[in-house]
Amino acid sequence: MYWGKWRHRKFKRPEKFRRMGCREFFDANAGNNDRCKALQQQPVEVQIAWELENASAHSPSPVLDEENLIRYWLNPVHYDSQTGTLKVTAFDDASNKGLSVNRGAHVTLEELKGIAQARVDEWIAHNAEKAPRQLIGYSVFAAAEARAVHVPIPPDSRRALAVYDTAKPDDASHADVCQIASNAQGGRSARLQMRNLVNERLQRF
Amino acid sequence: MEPLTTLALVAAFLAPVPLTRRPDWASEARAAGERPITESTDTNKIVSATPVITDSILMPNSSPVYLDRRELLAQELRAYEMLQAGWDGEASIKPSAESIAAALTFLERFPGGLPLPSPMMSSVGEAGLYWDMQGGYADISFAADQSFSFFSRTHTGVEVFQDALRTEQLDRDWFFHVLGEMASPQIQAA
Repeated sequence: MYWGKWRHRKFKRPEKFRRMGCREFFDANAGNNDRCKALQQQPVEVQIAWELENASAHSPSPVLDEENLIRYWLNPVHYDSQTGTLKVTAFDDASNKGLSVNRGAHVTLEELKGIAQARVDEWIAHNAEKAPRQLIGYSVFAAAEARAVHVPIPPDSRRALAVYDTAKPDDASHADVCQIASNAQGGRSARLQMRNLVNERLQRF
Repeated sequence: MEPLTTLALVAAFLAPVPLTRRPDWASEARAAGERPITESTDTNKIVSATPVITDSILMPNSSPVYLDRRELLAQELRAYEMLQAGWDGEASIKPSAESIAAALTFLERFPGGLPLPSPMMSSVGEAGLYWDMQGGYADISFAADQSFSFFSRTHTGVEVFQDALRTEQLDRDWFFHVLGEMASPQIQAA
């Protein structure tokens, strides 16, 4: 769309046509448990461009392709102990609120183990009536590997996952993996490919 | 009748047990201290119900029993009903009883000769079943209205997706059509 006319006449661009920034989007959807679904409504160019921007006021920097991401697993319902593998449902967060990961450049594995153990202890203390949490394991993978996941959109394919720097006030290493392909088959394909990537690297605590 | 023929017949009737009788290999093997090999090629074998992690979490006081593998799978699906809202984080939903019932119906109709699936539960309360096969992966997700969707992906990246399916519409051909090729190495090995 050509906006020269508006600029020339010193009119302000109408609010409904203004492109939202990455930080603005994530701030507006901070408490939204479906923020990845909201993200799926954005054009793919915007979804990808936002990976290069800060998504949080606490952000150390956007997540680079070569950065290592760490994800730990605490919910036994998503783990098959007989095969030692995670089920695809362990990755459903990527399609709604975002799959939380930690950036290896900003936290050590030992620190993460301590955080994971504290989360287990807190869950057990406050959720006695619910299925308990336990330390299952963790996986380390490069941001580029998640970003390389594509799903078929005949006759071509498209990016399925994006990684955003969503640092928290008490956790500068926090980032989110979001599913950015919105169709049902794409979602199933993305979570399976993410599962394959993570299961290959799964290590016990 | 000639005396020689009569003698031959008498000898035949008095002969030891006929050779066509099935040898009791299992007893002989046990006597020799060996472990007999099962003769069954059914994929739905009797297994020790060693609780998987889901069972031990949801049914902590259950004692080990011997169950049909299909029944064990059904028990795992039923155990999901014990999960409360918030079981998988604050936004997670209590598993849908209708979705679990649809998964159980599907399991009842699942034909022999194909590998049995494993159960799963999504944070939105939908029960599912999945197969990790030598030729690829497949999963099914059951909605609360008891319809289901099917997804598969071979190791070469060929995908199939079907949705709005109903369990009562399925016949044996459907199962073999969507799973048979990916499971064929396992079927042949069974």
